[in-house]
Amino acid sequence: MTLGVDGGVTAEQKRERWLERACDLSAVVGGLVLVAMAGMTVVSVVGRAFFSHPILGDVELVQLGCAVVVASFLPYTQFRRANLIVDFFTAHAAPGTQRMMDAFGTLLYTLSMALILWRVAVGAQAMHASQESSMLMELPLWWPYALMLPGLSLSVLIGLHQTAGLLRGTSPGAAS
Amino acid sequence: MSTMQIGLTMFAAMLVLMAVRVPIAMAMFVPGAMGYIALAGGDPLLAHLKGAVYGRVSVYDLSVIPLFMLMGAFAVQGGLSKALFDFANSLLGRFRGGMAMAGVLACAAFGSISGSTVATTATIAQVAYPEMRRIGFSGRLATAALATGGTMGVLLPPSVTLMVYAILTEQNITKMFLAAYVPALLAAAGYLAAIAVTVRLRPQEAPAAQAASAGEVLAAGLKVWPIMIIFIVVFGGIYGGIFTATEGAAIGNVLTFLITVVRGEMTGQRLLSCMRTTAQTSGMIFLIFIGADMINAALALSQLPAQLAAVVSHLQISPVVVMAGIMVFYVLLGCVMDEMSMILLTVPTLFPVIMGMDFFGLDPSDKAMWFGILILTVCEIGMIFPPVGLNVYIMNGLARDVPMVETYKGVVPFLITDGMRLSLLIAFPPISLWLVHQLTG
Amino acid sequence: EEVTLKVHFFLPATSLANTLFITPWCERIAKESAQRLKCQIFPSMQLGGTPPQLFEQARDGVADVVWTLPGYTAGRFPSIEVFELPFMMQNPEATSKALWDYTQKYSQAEFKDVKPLAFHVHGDGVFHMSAKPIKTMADLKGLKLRAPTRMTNRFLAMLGATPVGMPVPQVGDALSKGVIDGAVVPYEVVPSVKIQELVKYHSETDPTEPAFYTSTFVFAMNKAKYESLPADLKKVIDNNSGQALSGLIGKAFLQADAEGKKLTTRNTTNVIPAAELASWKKLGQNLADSWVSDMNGKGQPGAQMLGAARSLITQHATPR
Ligand code: NA
Ligand code: NA
Repeated sequence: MTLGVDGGVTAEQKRERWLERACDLSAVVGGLVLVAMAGMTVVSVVGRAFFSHPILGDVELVQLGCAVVVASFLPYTQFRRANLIVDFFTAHAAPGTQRMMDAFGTLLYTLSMALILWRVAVGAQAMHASQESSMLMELPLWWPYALMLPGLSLSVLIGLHQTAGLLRGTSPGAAS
Repeated sequence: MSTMQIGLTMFAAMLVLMAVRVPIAMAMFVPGAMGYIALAGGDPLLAHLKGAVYGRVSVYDLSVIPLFMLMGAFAVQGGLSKALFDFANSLLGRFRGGMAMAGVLACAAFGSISGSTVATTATIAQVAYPEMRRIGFSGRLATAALATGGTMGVLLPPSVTLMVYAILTEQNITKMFLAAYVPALLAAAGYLAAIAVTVRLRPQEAPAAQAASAGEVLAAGLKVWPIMIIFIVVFGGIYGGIFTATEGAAIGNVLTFLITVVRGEMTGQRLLSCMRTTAQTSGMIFLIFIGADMINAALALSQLPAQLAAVVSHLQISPVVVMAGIMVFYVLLGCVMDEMSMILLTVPTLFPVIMGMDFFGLDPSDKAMWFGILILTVCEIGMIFPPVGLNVYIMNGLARDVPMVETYKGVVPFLITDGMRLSLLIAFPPISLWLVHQLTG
Repeated sequence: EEVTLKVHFFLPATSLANTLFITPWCERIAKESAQRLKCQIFPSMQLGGTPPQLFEQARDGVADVVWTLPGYTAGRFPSIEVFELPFMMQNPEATSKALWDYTQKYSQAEFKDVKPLAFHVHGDGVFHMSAKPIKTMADLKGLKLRAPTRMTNRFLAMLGATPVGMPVPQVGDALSKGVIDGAVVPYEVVPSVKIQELVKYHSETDPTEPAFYTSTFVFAMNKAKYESLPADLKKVIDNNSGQALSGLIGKAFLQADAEGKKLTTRNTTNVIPAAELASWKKLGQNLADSWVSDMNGKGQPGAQMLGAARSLITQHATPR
């Protein structure tokens, strides 16, 4: 990282730190939802095995939860630049060339995630309008759609930040 | 452009984008979305995406991926996976490459019940990869062995993929399983041989053989009982039909977590670290699923498999050439699809083509079973075939310290045995059918 | 000009639903339009999404025609659930016609976003059991059963069984490993899950009684696609939809049940007698009552709708 002219922290670095905390928080929230899913499933299995009384709707809770977990995980993965690339063909390219290619790849990531964010938001609206619910527990389906939006939004922000950084020549969120 | 040309263009664009370091998921997503627009229009694409992404990430069967990732992270942080590996190594370390062989077999066992090669590789790798590196395996051999081993579950009964093939082609499930045993054993034998040859030719790939004393085995064994109990409960429960893979993963999580807490290994910092690792790897895998889903939908829309099948059935070419062409086609599909998508998308159109041809005078039921074994075998190969194979990406993504090229070099010996096995299976249908005929008359 | 319809559904191409109803329907419209109206068939959810999203796909034009279960999208089509109450269905052909008539009166608002081509039901739900047959209500106690609809799930719980929720493709796997003790589905599903190889017993309810359960289906077209058709092609669609098509599909499912049942001859089949079912029906009435009060709560005439469904079924019923 480079220091600003006044020896302090640049705006980009501040943004990076803010985004890092946000991604970290998002990953932890997703992790907690995952732990809750595991706990609920164990309660259901124990109930089924010993009391013939599982949680009716455990499967759909896992499905709904999985969507929220994954969306919450996505920004952290991109922040760590952990989304897979094939380095097979470009391993010997100049670092500057590689950086420009990465900027292009990150731009495509950003645009794709923005498209997905937009469409999932529209999906949430549609689910809200149609009042669709899960089969057994009758949980409104717009909830999991809506709970995907923070993670997807953060992914777009990370993508923007990293694309800008790569174009400018700084290397944000280098692989851990 | 005809729909077939659009389909092929998408494929080409994907390969180009991958070559210039575009994230694999987006190298699939972007051409897939463009192709979808060309084939169906912009509004249908927007409508498709409204539900497709949620649909892809809210799948019960796939929830095992983050769950097993988290369980693996607990086991790693709590020192449980280290204990397990020390124990296994005290038993197998006397053979050079023995632990790699154990890794392959663990993948096979897990893969046959998990129903997904990607989930299998990710799960086993999470636990096994760092340990294999720690005891001195090269990144090349460790990643290659685990990526290859992960594909074995496609063929090994009670594989869900095998069951789906039997249902699509109206074959008897039991007979189909019987047909798969010998080819699956051949696969295992081939992979073990590949490891044995690799470590003989390139000793630097594996740690030197080191015989442990009985006392050392016992000492390692005493540390390993908690993880053994977890393994017995989780895998015994899944095999024994007490619970599903997702439920097994959930139970494994709770048990692993409790044991690490009881042993005083779990601090707040470590818990956070477990969640970060899980987030990073699960996010990577699911983003690929999202991208692959987009290009798969567009490929289905282009009806590429159906059109190729139509072309093939009109050409007057020999059955063997057709079979070879189909095999190559599957290896290509392995770039973007998991085995289940390949089977669901292609079998309904290709199966009638094969059934209309004569191979060694096989009767229809034998031909269907034999073709199924071949198809599942090439599905496995497609998942690891360079330059792109879904399972190789995933494995390599988990091994951040290993360049992709190394993994590709590592899978070559495995692919050689795959090629030999495939040739044998094509040339000698009895390898697949003998056991069926022996046991069912 | 030629018009191609993208037909999307969740079962594989080899399913009886496709071979007995969807493909023949496509062939009929192709023939009657002199090949100007054609289908591209996408089985096994090839166009992406999940089965519960099929309805939305038809609404939005992701697919032009879909075949799906309204029950997959709970809360969206409450009116139609009356047909999924226990002991409602008499015979799939008659009940499908009744369902069509019923939806014309009570479900217009719920389906206003698509052009429904048919509504139908499948044949009698049957218990397919791994280890022991079902002869009395007591046999159900504590058994883990996979049930297809929300109503059947609730009803099985009332009867003392443990309903296990799981997606259809998992049923085969779950049966083979013993995660569930049985599945409650019609015979028509048998080949697509290979149930005959995974269980030993099939317990039917007395054929003179209404079915233990059925599920409702909708075969629907994208509205804009329909509107965009020239008048003569619209007419081809009109001639191949509605009450007549609904009845035809119901009949095809009866035929599919017969095909599926043929596969089970090596297993043991028993019939749960009408005398035993009397106590089951009493419990079923509780479920019907709760549906009525749900509908009343939504400001709809629940009792009237239940009555209409029952009398339409009787009205269309033919001797079994
Ligand atoms: Na490949
Ligand atoms: Na790597």
